[in-house]
Order: sequence, then C-alpha cells, then structure tokens
Amino acid sequence: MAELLVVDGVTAGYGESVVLDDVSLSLEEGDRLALLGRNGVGKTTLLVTLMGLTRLHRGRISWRGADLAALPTHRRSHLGIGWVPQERLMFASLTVDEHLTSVARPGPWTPARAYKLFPRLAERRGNYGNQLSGGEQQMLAIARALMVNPALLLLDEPMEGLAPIIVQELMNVVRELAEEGGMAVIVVEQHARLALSLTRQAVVLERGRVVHRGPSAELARDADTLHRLVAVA
Amino acid sequence: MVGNFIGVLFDGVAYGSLLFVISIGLSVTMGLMNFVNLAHGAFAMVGGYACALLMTRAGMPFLATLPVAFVVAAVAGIALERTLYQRLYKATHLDQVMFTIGVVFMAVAATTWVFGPSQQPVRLPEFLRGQVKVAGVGFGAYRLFLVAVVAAITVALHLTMTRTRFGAQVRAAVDNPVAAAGLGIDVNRVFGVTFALGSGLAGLGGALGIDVLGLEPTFPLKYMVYFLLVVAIGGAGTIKGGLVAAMILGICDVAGKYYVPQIGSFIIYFLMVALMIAFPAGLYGRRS
Repeated sequence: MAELLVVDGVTAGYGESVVLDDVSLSLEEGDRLALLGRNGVGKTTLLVTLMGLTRLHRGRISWRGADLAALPTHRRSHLGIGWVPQERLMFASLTVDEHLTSVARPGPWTPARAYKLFPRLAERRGNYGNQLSGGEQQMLAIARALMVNPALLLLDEPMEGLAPIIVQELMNVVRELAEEGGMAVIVVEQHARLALSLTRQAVVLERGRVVHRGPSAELARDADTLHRLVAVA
Repeated sequence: MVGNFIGVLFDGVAYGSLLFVISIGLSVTMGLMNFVNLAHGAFAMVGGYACALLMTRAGMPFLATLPVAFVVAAVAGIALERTLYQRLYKATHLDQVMFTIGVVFMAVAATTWVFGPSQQPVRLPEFLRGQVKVAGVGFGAYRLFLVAVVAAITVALHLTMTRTRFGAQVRAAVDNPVAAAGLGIDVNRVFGVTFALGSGLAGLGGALGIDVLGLEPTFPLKYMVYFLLVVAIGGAGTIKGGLVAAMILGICDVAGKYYVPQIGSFIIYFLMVALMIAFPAGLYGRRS
C-alpha cells in the first residue's frame, strides 16, 4: 500500500509556543491509527496541525507525496481529509441538512447515504445545529466530514461525553466505515481500549513527543505499558 | 390630517427602504466579518455617480443604469477588498477606522477633482414622476417604485441567505470560521463575494437615492451616521434587524422634520440613545 500521510519531524504549536516536539508518523491508504496519551499531550494539536490550523515551526507533512505546508485549511479538506473536531463545532444557524449540503463535494458519499448511515439525522434534518443532543451532534459531525468524501478521517475524541449506548452505536459505524470504506482513520480517544480495538497501529504521545508506537493489538494486551503510558479508564 | 399622516409615514418608509439597501452591506461586513468599514457610503456614491454619468453623458435611461450601478460598485468593492481591506481583517478596530476614514476622504477628494463639487442631476422617466392617488391620498410615484424595488431586493436577499448553498456557506463561515474552513469552505472567498454583494447593493441604493438623498462628493460623509445608526440599532449582521432599524430611522426622521422642524434633525439621535440604552447589542443583536 502507498503512503497516504507522512508526518516527519513536526514541531508545531500556537503562535510562538511549541506543543508538538519532533513528531513523526506515517499512515498508508486505508490504514487505521490510534493516537493516545493523557490530557494535554498534544493529540488534538496534531490533528489540527494536519488541518493547517497551527503554526508549523519545523518538519514536513506530506500527503500522497506532496507537501501540505503551504496549503490553506480548506484546500486540505478538498484533498480528502475529513475532520471531526473535538467539541464537534456545530453550525448553530444551519439545519442538519444544510450541514451536509453546504460542504458536500462530489463522490460516493452524499447526504442521502449519510442519512442511511444515521437514520436519527434523517429525522432531525430540519433541526438547527444547536438543537441536537450530544450523540446527534457527534453523528452529524461524522456525517458532515464524510461529505467531503475523505480518504482520511480524523476523529477527535468522538465518544467524549456520550452515553454508553450511543458509544456502541457510533463504534459500529466507525468500524464499518474503516473496514468497508477503504478510508484511513486516525482516532484520538481517551478510552484507550476502545481506540485500540478499532485500529491497527497505535502511537502514544507524552508532552508532545512520541513515546510509543506499535501494533494496537499488542498494546491492548500489554496492560502494564498501557497503564504506564495512558491512564486507562 | 390622517391623509397627511399616512403620506409622512409613507415617505418615511421610502426613505427607510433606501437606508436599508445602502446599509445592509455594512451590517454584513461589521456583523459577519467583524470589520468596521466607514467607507461603505463611498460604494453607494460610486453607484450613484455611475448612474448619473451614464444618464447625462451616455444618454442611458435611468432604469438601465441601475444594474450597471450595482455591478460597478460591486467591482469597486471586490477590488478594494482583495487589495486593501483583506489585509486589515485581523487589525484592531482603530486601524480599520483610520484606514476606512482615509478611504472616505480620498473618495470625496477624488470625486470633487474629477466631477466637480456640485450636485449630480437625475432624470427620472415620465412614469416615475408625479403622484399616484390611492384612496384619496397622494403617493409619490418614485417613492412607490423605491419601496417596491427594495421589497423585492429584501425577499431575494432573504431567500439567498436561507435557501441557497452559498447562503448556508456564509452562515457556516460566520458561525464558526475554523470549522467551515476545516470542512472545505473557502472562507475568504465567501467573505469576498459577500463584500462585493454588499457593495453592489450600496451602489444600487446610491443610484436609487439620487432623487431623495442627493448626490455630491461629500455623500459618504454626509450619510455615514445614518448608515452606522442602521447597523447599531438593528444589530450587526442581521437582515431583519437592519430592515426594522432602517424603517424606524426613516419614519422618525421624516416625521420629526415634518412635525417638529425646530428639533427635527436631532430626533434620530434621541432615538438612538434611547434604543441603545434599551438594546445595547441592537434590536436583533447576535452578540451577548
């Protein structure tokens, strides 16, 4: 499989500050990566750096061999990076339907297909972004990201603050997307075991640096290491 | 007496319609893009001059000049936005005020230099002159025309914002510019087009307003306060707020000058103070 994304020696942060320190990782087409670590170690910063929303001090990010550094955020989305942000970032004055149609780009993923994936959203298509439950917002955040027809889906704490039954439902959807869709996925998740069960490889960050990388299954079995690197809930 | 009152009310509505068309673009740039553009009236003046000059020098009929006024002002708007305004989006409001007031002075001076300081004439077509009698009350034909045009523009604007993909993208970019960009919306382009649309509407308003507001090089300064009042009272960034505020201002200004001419010019300022105390963020303000 060809390399989809290569992050090479990236040092990045907000303004002058440095959050990520010399981070490297790579992802093949259709691959699934768990990005783990305690709170505030830079997991979200890495995802928003991929979206071009931080200041890249050093290092290189390449997408299918091309350098991403000079590309503005919206062009990265056009390349096929589907961003499901932490906090979901709903548009309060857009309906559910408009969340999908306003960002939709041609490809296999259409609003109709997203409604099939999340029937709950179809029932709510006329509701505004701020009139949804937490679970519905998360579904919409994922559906919205699918509208850009991504080759890589960035899921930033998709299960945060959701009821267990909703988590189960979303897990099934994400698994389905990852396994059938041929879509690469990077999951940032506090529930480490959940993220590991979804992915093939894992990267653990600590204070902005990569402190562990390896197959997800291996890390899931190694309770001591997992506990040392990530406070397991 | 009653007929008189209705006449004054109607003139106020017509005046308010003009204020609305000219100011709505300012409301958008201030409310949605958080940019203080004191030079907004200059775009209205550009439209007005396009209309007046096409009539007097090229012999174009009034109605035919209106779309041109829109386009010329929109093009002027987008040219300035791309070259200059865009650099100040992240600047402080004071910098924005200094810059745009500079643009106003340059526009006033340049217009005086090129076209002279005098009022520009407008020749309205025959059917827009005189009065139309409805139930015994005379209405200015041109004012009826104004109200009708503005009503149509308002409906079109409302539909554009609520029913089209572009409208949804504008709202998304305003709700959360970071999320919008992260999902592929080119926020700069959306704002650029919005700015051009607002400038174009100002230009159209400037052309429509020659007969009512007059047109001379100091136009952007003379009416700046009115345009700012519409935005301040209506609440920046809302079409509905701008419309209501423009109507309140138009009616109170006309009625004040008619019924209490001694203090007529001050009425709108009393009104503004009262409304700003009651609604600090404007009648339909977005900000908390």
